[in-house]
Amino acid sequence: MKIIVTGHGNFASGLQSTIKLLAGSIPNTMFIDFTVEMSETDLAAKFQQQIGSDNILFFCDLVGGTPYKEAAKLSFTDEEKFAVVAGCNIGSLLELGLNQSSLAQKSIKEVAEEFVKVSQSGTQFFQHRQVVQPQNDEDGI
Amino acid sequence: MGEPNIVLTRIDNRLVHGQVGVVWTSSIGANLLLVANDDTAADPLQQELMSATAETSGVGIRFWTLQKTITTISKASARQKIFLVVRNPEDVLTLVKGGVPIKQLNIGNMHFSKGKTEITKKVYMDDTDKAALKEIAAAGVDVFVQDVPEDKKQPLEEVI
Repeated sequence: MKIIVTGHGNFASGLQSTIKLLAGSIPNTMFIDFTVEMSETDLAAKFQQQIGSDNILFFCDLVGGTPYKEAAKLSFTDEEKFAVVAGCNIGSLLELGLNQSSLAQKSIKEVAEEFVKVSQSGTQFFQHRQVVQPQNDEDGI
Repeated sequence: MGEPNIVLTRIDNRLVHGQVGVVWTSSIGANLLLVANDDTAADPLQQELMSATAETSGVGIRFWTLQKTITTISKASARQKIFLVVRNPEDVLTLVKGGVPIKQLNIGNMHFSKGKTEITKKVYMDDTDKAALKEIAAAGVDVFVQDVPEDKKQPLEEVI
C-alpha cells in the first residue's frame, strides 16, 4: 500500500515537516502539494506518476476540493485500488502510517474507513476533568 | 415566483471546488449552489464530485444547463439564497441576455490556457473573454475580479 498526502498550498509538505519532527518519516508515503500555479491536469499527472502495482490511499485536505476531486476520479475508475479520504488528521497519519502491518490484510476501502475512525477519535476539545484513581486494590492495582 | 435571490455569480473554470464550495459559499451566506454549465448538466461523475462539497457545507446544489437556468431560475423561492457558478464569461453573457437577473459578477479562477494573456495571477483572458465581460458590464452588471473574499474587489475597468 502507498499513501499519498495531498492538499491545497503546502498542506502536504507541511504535514511532511510535522511528521519529520515527530517521527522522522512514514514508509510508503508521498506528499504532493497543489500549489497556485498548478492546473488540475498538472496535479493528475503527478498522481499518475505514483501509480504502480500498489493500492493507493489518497489523504486529502478537504472534501470536494481539487485534490480530492482528482483523486476521486481515479477511485471511480478502480475502487479496489484507489481510496480517498478527506479531513483526516495528523494523528491518523501517524498512528496508521507507522503501523501499516496492521492494515496489510485490509482492502483499501477498509483502510480508508480506519483513517476516518482514528481521525474522529482524535478530534476533540479540551475539558477539565479531575483524575480519579481507583481506591479498591483488592483485584490488582 | 418573482425575482430569484442571486447573492453572487462567480466565473470559475473549476466550477465548484474547495475554494468555491467552502470559502465563498459560507462567506456570502448562500444556501443553494446553482452550477449553470451544459457539460456538467450531462456528466454524473462531475455532479457527484461537486455534490460532496455541497453536502459537507450543508447547502443544496443544482446542475442545470444554461437554457434551463434561463427558463427556470425565476421559480426559486425567496428563502433560497443562490450562488450561481458559471465556467466562463460567454456563458454568463448568455444568461444575462436570457434575462437572468445577475447584479454582481465575481471573476474568480480563469486559469491560463493557450492564447490567453495574464490579467492577474489566477485570471487569464483572450479577446472573446474581454468582449463578453464588457458587454455584461454594459448591461449594468457590477463586474469585478476577486479571488478570495478577503481580497479587495478590482473593478473590471481597472484590469482590462
